[in-house]
Amino acid sequence: MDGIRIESLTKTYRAGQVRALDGVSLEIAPGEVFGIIGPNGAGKTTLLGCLLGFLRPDSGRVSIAGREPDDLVIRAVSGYLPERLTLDRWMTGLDFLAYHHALARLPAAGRAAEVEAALARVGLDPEAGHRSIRRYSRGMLQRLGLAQALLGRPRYVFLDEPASGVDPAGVVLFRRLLDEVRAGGTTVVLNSHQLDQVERVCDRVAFVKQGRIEALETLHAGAAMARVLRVRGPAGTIGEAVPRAALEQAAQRAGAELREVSPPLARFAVPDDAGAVRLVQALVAAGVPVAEVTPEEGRLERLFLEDGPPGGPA
Amino acid sequence: MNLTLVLATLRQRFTSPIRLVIMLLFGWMPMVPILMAPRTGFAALGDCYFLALALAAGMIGQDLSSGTLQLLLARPVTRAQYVFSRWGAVATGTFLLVVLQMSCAAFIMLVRGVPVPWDQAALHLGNSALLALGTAAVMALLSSLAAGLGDLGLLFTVFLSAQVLEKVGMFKSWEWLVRGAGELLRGLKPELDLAPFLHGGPIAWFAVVAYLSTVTLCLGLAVVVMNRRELSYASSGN
Amino acid sequence: MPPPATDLPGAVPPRRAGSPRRDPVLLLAVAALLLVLRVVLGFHEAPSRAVPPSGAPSGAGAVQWRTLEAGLAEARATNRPILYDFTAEWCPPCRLMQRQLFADPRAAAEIESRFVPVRVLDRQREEGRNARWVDSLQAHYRVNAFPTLIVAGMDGRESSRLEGFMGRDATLGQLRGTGVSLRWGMTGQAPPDSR
Repeated sequence: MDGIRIESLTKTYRAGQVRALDGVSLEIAPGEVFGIIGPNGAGKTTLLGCLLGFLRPDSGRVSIAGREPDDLVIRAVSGYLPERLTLDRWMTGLDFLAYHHALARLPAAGRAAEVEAALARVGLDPEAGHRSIRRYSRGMLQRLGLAQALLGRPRYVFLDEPASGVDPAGVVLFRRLLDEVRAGGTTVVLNSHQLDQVERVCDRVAFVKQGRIEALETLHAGAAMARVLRVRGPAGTIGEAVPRAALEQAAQRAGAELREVSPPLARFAVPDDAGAVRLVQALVAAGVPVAEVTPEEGRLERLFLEDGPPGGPA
Repeated sequence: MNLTLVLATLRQRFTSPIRLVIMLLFGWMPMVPILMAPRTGFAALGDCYFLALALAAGMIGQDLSSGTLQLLLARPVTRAQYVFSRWGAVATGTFLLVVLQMSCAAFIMLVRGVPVPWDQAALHLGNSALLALGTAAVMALLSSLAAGLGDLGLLFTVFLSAQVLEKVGMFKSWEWLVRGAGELLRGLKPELDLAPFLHGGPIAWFAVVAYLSTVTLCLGLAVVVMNRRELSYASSGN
Repeated sequence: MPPPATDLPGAVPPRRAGSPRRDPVLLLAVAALLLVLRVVLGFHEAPSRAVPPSGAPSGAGAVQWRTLEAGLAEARATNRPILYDFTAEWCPPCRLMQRQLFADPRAAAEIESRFVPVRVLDRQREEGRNARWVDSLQAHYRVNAFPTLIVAGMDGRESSRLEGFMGRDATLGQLRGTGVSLRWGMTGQAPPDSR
C-alpha cells in the first residue's frame, strides 16, 4: 500500500504527564490531499512530527508505503514545509533551492534550470533568487519554503501552515500549486488553521482534539454535511409579513428544521447540500421572498464549537 | 560524508562576519613574531586550536536551536552523514586557514631573505591537520549535546572541572585522580606530534592510541546522540 | 493510479534504504577497542616511568637525566643553567611530576633546550644512607622537601627554587622565566663538594 497508515499512535511528553497523541489511527490513500485541523495544543504538530519520523511514538506505528516514515527511500520522494520556517539565511534563494535539490539527490544536470523553474513556480522573480534570504519578507520565505518542498515532484508532501504570512495572491497561487500536485498523484498532508483553504483543497479532514481524532470529514461535493443556513429576506418580510408558521411549514416540506426567527433573518438546519436546495425551493414555492442564503459557519468551523455540530432533522 | 553538506558548511563558516573577525585575530596574531624575527620559523605560529574552535563553535548546536536541522534531515541524509560532514568541513576549513597562515609566513621569510624551513613546514602542516581533526571531533560531540553555542560553555566547564580535579589529586596525592584529570584535559585538545614519525625517533604509542581513541570516541558518541534526538518543536511538549 | 512511491522520475535512489538513524557500530567498536588499549598502555607505562635516576634511560621523549659530572661538563660547554631535581622514589608528587612533566615529550623538549637536567635521587629510606654528593647537594641547597627543583648556575648559586609540584603548565611557566634570566649571569664555577 503506497499510502500512509497510522496505527494506534500514542505519544507523551514529560514522563507521561502530557498525552499529546492518544491512540490515533488513520489511513491516507495515495494521491489524497488530507487536512489536519484542531485547536492549539491538540496534537497536530506532534502528529506531523511522527509522520515525518522526527518524533518516536511511545506506541503504535506509522508506515509510508509500507516503510518507516523516515526511511531514506521515503525521504528521497518527500517534501516538507515546516511551520516555523528558518532557512539558511546566509544563502540566496537560488543557492538554497540548489542546496536542497542536491540534498534530495536530484541529478546535477539541469539543476540550475529546475531551480529557476521552482522559483518561478511559486511566484518569486529571478531578482529575488539572487537576493540573500535574510532580506526576504515573511511571504517570500513561505513561497521559497514551498518551492523547496515541491522540488523534484515528490510523492509525499507534508505542509505545516503553508499559507501563513502569505498575501491573498499567494494564497490563490498555493491553492493552484496544490491542485497541480494533487493532479500528479502526490499524497499531501496539510496542517492548517485556515479552514476555508483546507475546505477548498482537501479531500478529507481530521479534526484533532486532545490527542484524538474527534471527527473525520469528507469534503467532496454532495457529501452529507449538516449545517445551519441563514435566510434573509427584504425588510418587513421574514418574521413579519411572512409569519413563523409559514416558515416552519416550508421547512417541514424540505426536511429541514426552523431554528430561530429574527426579522429579517431566519435560521434553518439542513442535513446536507440536497437538503439546502430543497429548503430554498420550498421557501420560494411558499412565496417567501429569499434575498440571501448563507451558511452560518464554515463546514469545518462547526467542529470547533464546544456544543458540537448542529443537529440535523430527525 | 555528504559533499553538499561539507561545502555548505564551509561556505557558511567563511561568510559569517563574526567568525571571520575571530579567524583574522587568531590567524594574524602569530604573524607579529614572524615579522619581528623571521628566523623563528613556523614554530612561532603556534597551534591551530583556537582557529579550529572559531570554526567549530555551534557546528551542530546552532542548527538544532535555529530549526534548520529539521528541514535538512527531512532529506535523504543520515544523521551520521550530517555529523561526519560537519566534522570534515570544520577540520578542512581549519587546515586551509593554516595553509594560508603558513603561506603568509613563508612569504615574509622569503622577502626578509630567510630560508624557509620546509621540513618544519611539513611537520607543522601534519600536526595541524591532526589537531584540526581532533578538535573538530571533540566539538562535534559537545555541539550535539548543547544547543546554540553551548558547546563552548561545555568545553570551558569540562576544562575547569578537570583542572580542579587535577589540583585536588595533587593535593591529596591521589595519582589516579591526577592521571584521570590529565587524560581528560588531554582529551579536550587531542593532538599528536608527528616528529618521531618524520624524523625517525622513538614512537610514543600511548600518545598515538590516546589520540585515535579520543577522535573515534567523540565522533561515535556524537552520532549516537544525534540518532536519539527528537527534532520537532513539539518535543518541548507544546 | 499514482506510480509506486519509490519510482520517482529523475531522482537518484539513495545508496541504501533503511533508517537514517543507524548507529556506526564499526566506529563504536574501534573506539571501544582503542579505549581499552589506551587504559592498558597507560597502566603499562606508569610503573616503567616511576622515577628513573640520573644516567638511567628515561623512556622515549622524556627528560634524559645526566650524572652530576656529565651535567656540569655539559652546562659549561653549552652555557646553560643546571636544573636539579631533588626527588625520592617514595614521594607521590615526585612520581606525578615525573609522569606529568618530565615524561611529557613537549615539556621534556623544552626543559632539555633551556637547562641541563640533573636528578638528585634520595635513597635514605630505601638504603639507609645517600651517596656523599647527594647529601652535599641537599645541604648546599637546603633541601627540606621533595620534590624540589633548583635552577643553579655553574657557580652553584641558586637562582630559582620550586617546592612541590603545582602542575605541568605552572611549573613550565616558572621555569621559562628562570632559564632566560639566568643565562645572562653564568660564571662557570662548579658547586662546592660535588664528589
